[in-house]
Amino acid sequence: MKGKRLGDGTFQIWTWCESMIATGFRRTDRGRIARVFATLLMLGAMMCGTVYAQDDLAQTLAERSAIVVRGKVVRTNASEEPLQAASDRTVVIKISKMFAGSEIAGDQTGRNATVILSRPGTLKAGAEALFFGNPRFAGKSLTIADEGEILSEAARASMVSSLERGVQARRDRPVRERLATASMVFRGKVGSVRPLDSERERNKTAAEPRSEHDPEWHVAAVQVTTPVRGGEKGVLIMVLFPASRDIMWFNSPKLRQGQEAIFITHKPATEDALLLRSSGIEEFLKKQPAELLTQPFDLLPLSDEARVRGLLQNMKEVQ
Amino acid sequence: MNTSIFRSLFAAVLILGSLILPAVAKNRLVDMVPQSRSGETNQDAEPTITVDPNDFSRMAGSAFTWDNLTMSPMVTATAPIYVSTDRGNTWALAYIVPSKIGAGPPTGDITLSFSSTLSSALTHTTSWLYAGTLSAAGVGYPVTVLRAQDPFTAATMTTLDTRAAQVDQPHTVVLTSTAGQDKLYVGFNDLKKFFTTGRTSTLDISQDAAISAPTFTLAVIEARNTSIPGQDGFAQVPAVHRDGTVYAAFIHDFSNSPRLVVVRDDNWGAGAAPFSALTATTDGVPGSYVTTTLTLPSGVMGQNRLGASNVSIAVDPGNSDRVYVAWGDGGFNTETIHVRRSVNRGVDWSDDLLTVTNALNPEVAINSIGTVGVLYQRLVSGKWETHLVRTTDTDATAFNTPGILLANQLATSPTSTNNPLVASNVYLGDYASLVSVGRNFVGMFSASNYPDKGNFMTGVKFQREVDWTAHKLYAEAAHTTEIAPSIDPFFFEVEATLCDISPVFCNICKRYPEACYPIYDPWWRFKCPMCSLEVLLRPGDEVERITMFDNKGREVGMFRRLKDPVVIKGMKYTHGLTVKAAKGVSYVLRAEVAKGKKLKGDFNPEYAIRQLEAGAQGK
Repeated sequence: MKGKRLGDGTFQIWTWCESMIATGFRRTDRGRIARVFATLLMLGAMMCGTVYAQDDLAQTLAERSAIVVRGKVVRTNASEEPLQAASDRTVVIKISKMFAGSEIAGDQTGRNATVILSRPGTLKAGAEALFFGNPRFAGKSLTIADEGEILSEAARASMVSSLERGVQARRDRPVRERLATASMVFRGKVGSVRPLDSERERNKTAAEPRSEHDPEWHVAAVQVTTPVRGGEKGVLIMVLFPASRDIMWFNSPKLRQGQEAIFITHKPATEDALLLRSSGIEEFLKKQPAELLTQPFDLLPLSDEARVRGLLQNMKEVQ
Repeated sequence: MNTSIFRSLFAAVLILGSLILPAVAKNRLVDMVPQSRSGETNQDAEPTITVDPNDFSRMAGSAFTWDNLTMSPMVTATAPIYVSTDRGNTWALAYIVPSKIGAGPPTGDITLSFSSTLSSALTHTTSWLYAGTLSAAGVGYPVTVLRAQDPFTAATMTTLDTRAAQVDQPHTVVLTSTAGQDKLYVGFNDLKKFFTTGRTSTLDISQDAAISAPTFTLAVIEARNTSIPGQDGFAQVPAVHRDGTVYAAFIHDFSNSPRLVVVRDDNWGAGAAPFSALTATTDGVPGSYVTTTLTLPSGVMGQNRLGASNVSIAVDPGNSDRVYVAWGDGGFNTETIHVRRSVNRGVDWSDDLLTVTNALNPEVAINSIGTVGVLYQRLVSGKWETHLVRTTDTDATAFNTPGILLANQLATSPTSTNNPLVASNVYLGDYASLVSVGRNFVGMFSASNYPDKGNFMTGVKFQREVDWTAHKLYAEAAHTTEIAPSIDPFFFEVEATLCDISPVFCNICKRYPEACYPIYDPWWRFKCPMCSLEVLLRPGDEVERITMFDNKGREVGMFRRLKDPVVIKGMKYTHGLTVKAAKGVSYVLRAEVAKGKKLKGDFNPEYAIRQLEAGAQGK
């Protein structure tokens, strides 16, 4: 049996089961008891399947959603966002708990939000549910475009942990993507940092296009203290990173001497060719091998080592 | 007796109030960060704004605004833009620009432009919105051209065109032709040409961007080789007129001998050799030199990097011969901005009409009555002052410097989230934004949000939670969690009227200023001092009679319906009046509305001037 979302009658199964149990224990003959047990066993199996399916659903929805909240429907056919017309697809909820999404507009606990439901007319006023969605508007209040909803009464402890797994999986996504294409993953310590070449030298050669988004490449000598994937303990790796704080590079890792971290490094890829030629590192790479560190999640704190190892293991198993 | 005096006083106050209030009400300044994002500390720099020509209440703005509150890597796959449906009084973020979960920035550079083609969106009535971005969703931040059928709803913008990496600064301008086509121009710096021709100034052009699958062509607008390897400046900025004239400005040969160049096309940039209509007198090559060799600014001023672009261009919506440019030059850690103009389609250029030292982000716009507005940000005694100056004469050459002071905030606080020790830090951004909306000016700039009303234009409004008395920002309505000041985007609208440019016209039109339209062009007389001029008009059905007055207050005459309409550049003119060109004389057209009819907005007639040989009369 497949798990169903709200409105499909899934939760009526519980009520039916309870009434069957109640009915069964009023009867005394063995045959009836046996039938009741058989029924219960069957129902138990169905329910387990349903609960697991619900858990899966919570995880899947959470992976697709930047915002996951528990809330109570305050008004149906309503909207608190002037840009979002009220319809049978919109409800206003009062948020009682945030599982994910406080980065977007802060902690919304206790506040109202407008929700564009995944399916129209599925919730009544007073209903409590988990809402999984993505931001659409942030005005006077938040408007969430839902991927799905699950009634709160179905949200047992196992579902909450599934949901949390989904939230974590979403957070891990950019790290997984970088791990998937990484040439090396290691725990390392930064020995020295220097600009790739000085501004004066660059002007002398003048063979580079200039842009306000100049990455301002720096090179760090990083010693591998613990290899995680690739590399050898004690080896010195030259790591190129953009020191620029321009919009494009603002969130790229910035290395400093003495820093210890988890490094997820990449070899210069084909698509980087223009970038490399434009920033003088092609010449550098001719002289010695080096790794690139360009994306926000290419450098993680040491405390993430177990997380990274887990993700790598998981990726290996999937393969 | 006392009661009578009181009543008289009260009446006088009411009358005075009614005279003053409308003007005050239209000058508005709003911090655009929405209330629900009161906890944000982003550095919302480098803004652009656009207004729907079909309804000025619909607006959209962009800045370096993340989906999250702290400039952390993206947590969603869509970056937000700012939208308003009440003429900028309130703003919300709409998450509609394609981005990527985990991306460092929401987008790279981004600019927006509304056309005036209604998009037939189901939920809201709106025109098409276009954007040019350096996309964080693509490898190497390619230029992507985006389109939204309804920016006020939840749908992610559609990608119309992508130009691969090694590109920079998309500047987007769209204008709907009289034939109903959305003429879209996205200027960008194509650095892939660095090693070959050095001609990096490029426009990505669609002649009909509103159709379901628009096609795009590239026009390299730099006709001269720069020194190779070499390049043009970072910004290539277009300006479009409804008669098909398209200008673009850029810094030629940025790497060696930088000069400001303007190119022009007279047919929407659609021909086989686009943007070759304007040639320099010195070398006969397309592209008119506005300046001699410039010393470009570099380094940092008031925590903002210098030299990144600072080129702006605007064409007079009433007369495509008149074009204004602004740029910045200077030296290390200093920049001076300049404004010049041409009244003969870019052939000749004036000297500086405006020069402001220690300033950056000049943005020029021209309103429907020919008033020129310039927005700039100036460092004065350690504070960033944001000014809007306007011309005060019918020839649009004299500016009311220092104009309106929109904001005046410390340049040292907040400390740039970007490192001030490196060259590429963005504090306020590499540009601000100014557009005309009918007769008014609408703009967007970035500034510190430190809440002190004394540091802003009177009437400033914050949407985010603020305690003006304690000068503090808060994350929520209960004012329990204090938030540090940061850089926010600000919207403003400043009213401009005939009274700003001519007290005489102001007096002639005091009863119904919306029904007046001034015209002036010194070039008429330069071209033929002995000639007569025939002013041709298409006044519109709602207008019954048009009288022309000169700037001495004299009635010149009344427009007559022509026996046969005159067609110029595809435009049919039905009324005419002949005058003698005279030095320094400008005119105002005063319309009288037919009984039972109303003007649709301001009187803003299609008009043309043609010269008649000495002694000749119009038909």
